[in-house]
Amino acid sequence: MEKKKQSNRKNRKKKQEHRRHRQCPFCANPNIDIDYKNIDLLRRYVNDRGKIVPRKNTGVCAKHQRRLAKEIKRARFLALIPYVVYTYR
Amino acid sequence: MAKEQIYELMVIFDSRGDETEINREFDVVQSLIERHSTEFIGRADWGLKEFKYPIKKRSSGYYVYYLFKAKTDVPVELSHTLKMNEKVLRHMIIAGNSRSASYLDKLQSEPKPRAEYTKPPETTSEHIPSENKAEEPVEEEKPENVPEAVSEEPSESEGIEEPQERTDEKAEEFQEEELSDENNEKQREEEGVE
Repeated sequence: MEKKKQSNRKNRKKKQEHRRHRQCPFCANPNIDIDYKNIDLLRRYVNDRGKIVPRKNTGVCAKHQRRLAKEIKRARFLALIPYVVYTYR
Repeated sequence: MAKEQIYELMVIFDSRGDETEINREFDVVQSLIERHSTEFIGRADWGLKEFKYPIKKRSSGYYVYYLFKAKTDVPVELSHTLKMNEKVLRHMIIAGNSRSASYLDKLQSEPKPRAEYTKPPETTSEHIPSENKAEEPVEEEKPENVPEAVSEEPSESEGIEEPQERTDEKAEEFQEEELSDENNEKQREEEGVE
């Protein structure tokens, strides 16, 4: 059992290290404008249900994730992006 | 003394009614901003857009973007007057920055090809003339094609005669085959009888 635990910990460490290498796309290219008017960009950071995608999945830094969330909420208010997307079975 | 700042105003106008009246409303709001603000920077009409969810039981509206410089107490007054306006479905005033000014320049230099959303009742009236237009060129083409068809007729008639001859030949062949079959059958019957 001890051996198994050790191996799991090792795997976790490996995964964490692998994730760290991704760079924030907005830090890499500061010319990208995070704005509620730029709907095509915001759609990339919203899943098919209309939820904001966590930065763990997208690799965006905390600073830009805060700005993204703000602009997505503005776009939602103006009905440019849906609040919720219902999928019926 | 209140400070000055750049503000962005996005207004969603009601799409019901005549377009001329709605366009007049755009100018009314612009004049309102010009009265209150210290500097009116620009305006961008996004046109009629479909909502992602219904606002006040309406499915589409006209989006207009205004950019202006004003004192910090102006947005409160503006939003109050816009709320009173029945033609305005929704509005949003936010503090702008240097990038918001460059947005208007971008639009002027590279106007985005927007997907125009047309109203459902108006589309029926608009479609009828378009169908007529589609028919007109077809009618024009017909007289041009007629002489060509006439010139082609003899060639077609020649082409038609050939298969007729072939059919005759085939018919003769068939008859011969049938006759030969009948003869064979008769012979077999005779042989069987014997």
